Amino acid sequence: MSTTISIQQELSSISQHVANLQNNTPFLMPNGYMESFHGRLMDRLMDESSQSESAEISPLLRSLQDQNPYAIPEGYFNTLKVAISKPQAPVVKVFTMGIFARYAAAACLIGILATVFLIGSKKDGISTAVAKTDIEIPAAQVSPDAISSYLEEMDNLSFDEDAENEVFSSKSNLLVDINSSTIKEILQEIPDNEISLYMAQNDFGDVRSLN
Amino acid sequence: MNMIPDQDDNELVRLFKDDAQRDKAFTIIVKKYQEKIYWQVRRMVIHHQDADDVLQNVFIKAWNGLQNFREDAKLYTWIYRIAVNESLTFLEQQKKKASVSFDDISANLEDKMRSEKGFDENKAVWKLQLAIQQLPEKQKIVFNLRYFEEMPYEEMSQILDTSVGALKASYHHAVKKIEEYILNH
Repeated sequence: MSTTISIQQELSSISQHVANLQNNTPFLMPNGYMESFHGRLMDRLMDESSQSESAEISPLLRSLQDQNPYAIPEGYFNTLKVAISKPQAPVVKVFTMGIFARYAAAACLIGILATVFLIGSKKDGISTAVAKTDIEIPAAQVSPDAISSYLEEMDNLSFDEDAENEVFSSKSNLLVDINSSTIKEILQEIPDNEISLYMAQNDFGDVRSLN
Repeated sequence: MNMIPDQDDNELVRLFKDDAQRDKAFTIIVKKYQEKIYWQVRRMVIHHQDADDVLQNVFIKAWNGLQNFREDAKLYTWIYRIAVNESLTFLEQQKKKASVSFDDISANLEDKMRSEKGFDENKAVWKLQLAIQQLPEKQKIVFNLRYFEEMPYEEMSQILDTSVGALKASYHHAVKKIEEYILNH
């Protein structure tokens, strides 16, 4: 205590300004530094001890410990290029026109097939050359024999829906079978005045021009 | 600074010289003086990491030299001497590395101080530290030991191997220079 007072008195005698200052050290010390210092110090002492021990056992080995016999080409590290392999970005498939085209083609094919199917299923309602004729012969003016023979021929036709081609071909045969001679036969059985009346009503001209 | 009982230090030295008790004795010595020596070194070298390096060097030298320590000297003055020498050696090495003069190393230490966390040159405590860095190395050590450690000149004389009169004069000059710096900045 007396030493402290004397030191303070000494300071005041030299400089009151300095004596009035706080004698604190403003530097900061890391937390836990002092607690860990002893451990780190002992570790270092052990390292140095092992080195000196090896030197005692074999000074030659100890002297060679830090020597590296290998040599490297001059300027090697200056020219060393480290190829940093950049990780390849994962290839993410995006929607491309190719994929779109495939889907569009499949949709078109489906559409075409559906259309063909639908068309085929509606062929019953399609007027044929046989069903439609430009000449509408009144049923009363056609002889019963002619009608019955016609109907018999129609009955003999196979109306299989799957065999559309057969129907069409049968009908087309029917068209072929009804040739000009047959028509003449039908017309000969019809009185001329009835044909004329029909022609006049439908504005077909003079009947005599047909013969 | 509290006066450390000599017999305790002498007892520690005796224990250290016993192979079976060496580690235990050295642990006690380290824990007894580590903080005081750290701050003495830190005021010289400024940076904590530098102070840690120097502090380790101090106790490694103490470990290596305690076996031959003569008990006519006091343990803590012996350890302080090692600390002063190691601090001066460190600063000398810094000078050689940077190939700078004393004035440059002083500026270098000032720069280190300005980079310290919490530095504020408007505060008196920091201004005092800046003023101390302007001192020559020996005056700096004398001022630090007297002002911060409150060390008697007789013990300081054993550490620095300098007469008491020279130390008093050195301290007087140091205080005057510090006063001049503080009044002008």
